[in-house]
Amino acid sequence: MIYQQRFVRMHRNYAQRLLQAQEEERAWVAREVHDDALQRIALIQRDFASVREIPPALSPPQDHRVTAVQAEMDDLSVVLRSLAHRLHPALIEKGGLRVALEALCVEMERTFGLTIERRLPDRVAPIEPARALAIYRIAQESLRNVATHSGARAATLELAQTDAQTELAVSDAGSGFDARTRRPSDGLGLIGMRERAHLAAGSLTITSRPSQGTTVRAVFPMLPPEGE
Amino acid sequence: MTQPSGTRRPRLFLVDDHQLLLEGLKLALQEKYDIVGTATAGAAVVSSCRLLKPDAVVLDLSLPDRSGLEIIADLRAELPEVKILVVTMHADRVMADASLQTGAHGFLPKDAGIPELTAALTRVLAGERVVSDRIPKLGTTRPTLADAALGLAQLTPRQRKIVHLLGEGKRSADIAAEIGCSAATVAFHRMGIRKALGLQSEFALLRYALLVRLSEQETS
Repeated sequence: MIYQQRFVRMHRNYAQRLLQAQEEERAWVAREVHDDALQRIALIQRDFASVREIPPALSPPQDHRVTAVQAEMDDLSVVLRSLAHRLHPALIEKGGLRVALEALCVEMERTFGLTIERRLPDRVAPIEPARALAIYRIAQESLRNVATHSGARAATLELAQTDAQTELAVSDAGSGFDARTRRPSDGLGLIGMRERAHLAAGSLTITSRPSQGTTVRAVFPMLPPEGE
Repeated sequence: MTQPSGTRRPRLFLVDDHQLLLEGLKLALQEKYDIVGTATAGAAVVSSCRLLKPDAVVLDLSLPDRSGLEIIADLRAELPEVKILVVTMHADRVMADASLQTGAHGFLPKDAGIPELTAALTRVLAGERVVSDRIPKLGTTRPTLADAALGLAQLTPRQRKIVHLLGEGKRSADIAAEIGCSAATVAFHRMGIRKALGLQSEFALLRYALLVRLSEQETS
């Protein structure tokens, strides 16, 4: 019995370390893209724009082509910036969890045509970065599930804070699912969310029944994990 | 329906990417028409027609190399006297309207029978415009219009620009000239757009671009 518990704990530790390593790797790649590739493109753009300042003036076809290359470089910046953002939402560190969740909702609405009702506190008390990232990732995965699996076009995202805990809830009124007959391919995202919650010393519950909608709820007690 | 002996039999050029269907069409139509040539891809259609001078082209829209709409545009530009009857498995109003706007004279779904096809050919050859009754009216495409605008948010500004130009019926070469880049860059973006939106073929991309245009016309 004790052996079994240790075995389970070992696996959980391993899964959590994997998740952590993945996030660290992603953050590193995102920083490289942001701080190196994007800065270089900006420099190239500046140098390239200066071509126009060197006489003689460009012929109209040359000018047309230069404009096109500039537009391509602008576009490449857009692609890389969104890639960096997807890899690691730096907005959490820069603007805080509330701003990052708001931006996530806007992005999900634009991309999937969802209507998301936000219930966010006016002010979110500071949360450890790893926890804030876990909350963000769970919200992201849940909203993506709403968009791709539930059939619902609307969702509610709620963040509630008390002195004792931070709670995230994402719910929809979509098709729901039966936890017993869930397909493994869908389940991976759910397992990932659960592991993320555990990793940040929280817990995750999913309430769903066929045609009754789904609610994903993640609760993080305020005490830091070291207190256990 | 016998041809008066003095009348020249109408000359047809048939385009379809399925060889078997092409053979079948040829067999069915050669009784009344001279089949002057056939093609299973889009590349050589215009040059062949320049040589063979058909009265009408029976054109499939989904071809491996070029979209049928581009061929319609080219045929109209180079051989304005040639009539074009589109025969396609995509029996939808978006494609029908786009085909006629681009310059086709008729639009039939592929499940049409030979009598319907010959009737349409007769009318098209007489200079009429023909759209099969079985093409649904535009009202049925509304939900798809909303979806089209959605996908747009997943594209980069450059990709969106290219979707707009495709929706205006521009070909890759036109687009390259208009925005000042090379044809290779346009081809790259077309692939990127398809990947981003999960569109399996160039035909699906074109249809998407037309839907985007329609949805913007509706909202503007």
